[in-house]
Amino acid sequence: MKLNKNTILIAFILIANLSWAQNKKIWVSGAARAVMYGDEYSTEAENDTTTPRKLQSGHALVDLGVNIQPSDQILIQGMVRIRNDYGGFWGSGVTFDVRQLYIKGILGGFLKYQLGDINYKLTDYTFKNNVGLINKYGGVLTGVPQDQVQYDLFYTKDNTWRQQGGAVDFALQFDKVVEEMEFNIFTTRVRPTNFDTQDDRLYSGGSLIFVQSQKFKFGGQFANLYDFAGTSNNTVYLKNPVYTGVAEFNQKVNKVHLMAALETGISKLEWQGSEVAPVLEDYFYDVNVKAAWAKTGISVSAGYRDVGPNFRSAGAQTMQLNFQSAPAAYQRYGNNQNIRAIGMMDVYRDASLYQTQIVAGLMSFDPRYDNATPYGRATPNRKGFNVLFDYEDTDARWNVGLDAELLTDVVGQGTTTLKNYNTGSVFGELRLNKIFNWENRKFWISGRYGMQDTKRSGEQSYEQVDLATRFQDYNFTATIFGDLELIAQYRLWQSKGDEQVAERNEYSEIIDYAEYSIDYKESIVGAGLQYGFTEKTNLSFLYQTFAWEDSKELTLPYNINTWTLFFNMKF
Amino acid sequence: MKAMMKKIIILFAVSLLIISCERKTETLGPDLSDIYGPFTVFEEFDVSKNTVDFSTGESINFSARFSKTVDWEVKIIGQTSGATKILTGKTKVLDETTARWKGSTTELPMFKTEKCNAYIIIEDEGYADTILNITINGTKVNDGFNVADFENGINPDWKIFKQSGANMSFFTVQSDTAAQADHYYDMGGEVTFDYLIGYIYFPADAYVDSATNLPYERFPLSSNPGDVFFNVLLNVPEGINNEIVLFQLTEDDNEDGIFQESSEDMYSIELKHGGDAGLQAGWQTISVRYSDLTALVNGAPATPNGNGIKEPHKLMEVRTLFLADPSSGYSQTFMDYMIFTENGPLEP
Repeated sequence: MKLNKNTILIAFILIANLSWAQNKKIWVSGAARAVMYGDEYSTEAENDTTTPRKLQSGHALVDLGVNIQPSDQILIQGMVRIRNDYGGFWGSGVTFDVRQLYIKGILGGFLKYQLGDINYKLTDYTFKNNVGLINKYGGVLTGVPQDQVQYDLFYTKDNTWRQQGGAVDFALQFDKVVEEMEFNIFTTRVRPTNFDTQDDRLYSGGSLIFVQSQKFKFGGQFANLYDFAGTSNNTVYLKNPVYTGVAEFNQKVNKVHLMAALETGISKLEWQGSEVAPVLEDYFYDVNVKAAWAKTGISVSAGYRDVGPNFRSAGAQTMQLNFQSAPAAYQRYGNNQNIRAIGMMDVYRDASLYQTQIVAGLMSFDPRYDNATPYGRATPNRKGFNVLFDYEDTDARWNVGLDAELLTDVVGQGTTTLKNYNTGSVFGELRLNKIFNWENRKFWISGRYGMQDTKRSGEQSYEQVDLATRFQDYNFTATIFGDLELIAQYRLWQSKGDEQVAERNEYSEIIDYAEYSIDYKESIVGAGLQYGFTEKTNLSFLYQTFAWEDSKELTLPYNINTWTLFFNMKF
Repeated sequence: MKAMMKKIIILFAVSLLIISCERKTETLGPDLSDIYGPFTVFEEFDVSKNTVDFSTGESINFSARFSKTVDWEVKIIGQTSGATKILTGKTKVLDETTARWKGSTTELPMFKTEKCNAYIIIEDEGYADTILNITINGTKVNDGFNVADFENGINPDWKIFKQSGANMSFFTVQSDTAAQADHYYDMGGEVTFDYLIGYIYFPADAYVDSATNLPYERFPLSSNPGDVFFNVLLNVPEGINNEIVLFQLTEDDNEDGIFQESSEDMYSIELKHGGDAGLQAGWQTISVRYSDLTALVNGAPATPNGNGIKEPHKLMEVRTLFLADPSSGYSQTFMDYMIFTENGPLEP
């Protein structure tokens, strides 16, 4: 949405004055950012003489949110983003967008509501913004731009999806049987009608949780992605309802915190009115137990799940990364001007690669970045065990852990032989400042080594697949003096082997297999200085080298050295 | 503690209940053996009949059966016209649902009453086979209002003009290479003083309504512009790259029987050489949905002069103007089979 910039500026000056005048009933909040990237491309490939060797890009932006609180029960926020891309001058390249608008409040002292932009989630199998493996483990260097990408996309740490619509939450308390009943209801629009062939597509749902006591709660969730019939001339209506039930026990026994949880449910994906579309129905269950010893800092959890091959849940299976998109920087390269494959450098700094809205069916994915659970825990056609172990020193001097998932297909793809998917990583962090009692200083080192193997044997050679991914990540943070920190990181990601990737039709049914063969590695190594003016304001200067190697020579090898200047402020 | 144990037992009982649910265990997707297994021909390439009359609605089916799913291509080529029909698929079996031919053409010209050869090619397996001498006794009939196929010469009510240039043609030609049947219209010449080389206008009143035996006042088309398609076949000879073909469709908005350019709608299609949407060498099908037509002034989109509503049932005249840059030398384009179809573009 483009607005006249003078109008916006005048409006904000007036509002700022009002905020002084009206005793903080109106106030401004938001964020500001300035970023500059300097990329230097190099390659050993002889057939690349045309790719620009140096590129510079960046932007400055400010998010100005006006908060209006006409009464204690109502809050209205409208936020605009003013952005000027690097190189813009006298208004050229400047954009004004409405970033968010919402009204929220409490009705009758018990009913919470929010209209407009809302962040929402339910459970792993109904509605959750799943973080992919490539983004799962943050790094001190890659995390700097990654945080901003996630801020831009409204990806939150509690895995909500940003939606537009309305939500109502309330609870009823009782004296007997159950302590409380919690109601959460939402409805949002994920796609507008075009008044011709495409209906409004809505996403609605909610949950009802019975809290029997602090130890036990149970309930159900419902989420449905559906076309709102009658909003266009379309005669085929998508419907994807998901119903799940949950139960959770918590109990403390001899200073051990025990937890057991179950989620189970069914889904249906259909295109009502279509004679050719299938009806996909299936179920899942997921059982987890956890024990945590507070005194020692050890916690162990283990679980088993079975997610049917036709389980479809749009709100839980939509991936963050859209692998159909292409990176913004060096989008085409080489003398043949091929589209450059998405690499880690792009994943951590390019917001245009990400999905902002949930979609029906199953998106395509890249096996090198997660072949086992591309759609998160709700990935269909998977069953098996998961284990998580964490040991945190009680004085917070160190932390070690491991996670593992041993999964298989539920049913075979094109053969009765099942694929095995083994994923795992070990992690360790050493906080030397705690060991040596260096108060007010940071001195951390951490590392993670991870792997993922996909294997399928078989009597015929064409049944066999073997794809191995390995990743490593090492981080270092040290306070030089005051609030100035030195950060450094090395991250390596490599995949080798062969896989048959399912190709799906518009109804997410497998119709063919694409032969996927890879032997590549990519790495980021770099260091930087970070200065914290305040808790919410910091300046970073980073330098990194991104390297891409392809032993199969299907893509050109290259390096991109990047310096980054990053100023970030929240207010 | 007992209460908690009871709850845990209930939880796992529920889990076991779910685990015991039945689920279909069929494999997902096509069988790998159908894709990657050895290739064997179980049934040879064959055709359902060797003689066909498409004008009566007949069709022919090709058949074959293989041990695995393959990417196949069946190419049917007219022995006289060189017309080509290509059927493709990715199946194990060719039958009436996957390899049926109703007489249409993929690469112009259209098929004539002639003999054809059919070839099957499976490139990945290095397999090919041929069926010779399939006889077409009658060609496919296309539903629609036939404006001009030039098979009966020039309609005297058409309006034709050509400049006094060099090597001027503007006449019908009989040839086996006609896009449809045996004749096409040749527009050519070199005019050094004007863009316009010549034109041929097709007024509605050049056609007679068989029901009333009176000339049409307007073309008998549907009033829904989304249903109506304007189709014409054009051929740019090799070496020509300066042609401009302009079609103008004039509407009688006030239904007074006269087109007033200053106050009524005229929609145009301007075709130039090259580019993704431009004309190329050889025969090609031009099909435009009536609702997608635009008014043009000097080639640029403009506001129509009339009511601005696309009304195919008020179409009075179709004009074909052949133009070229006067400094660019000789130009030429052949035209054939101008037809309005409804509910879909022409499938020649």
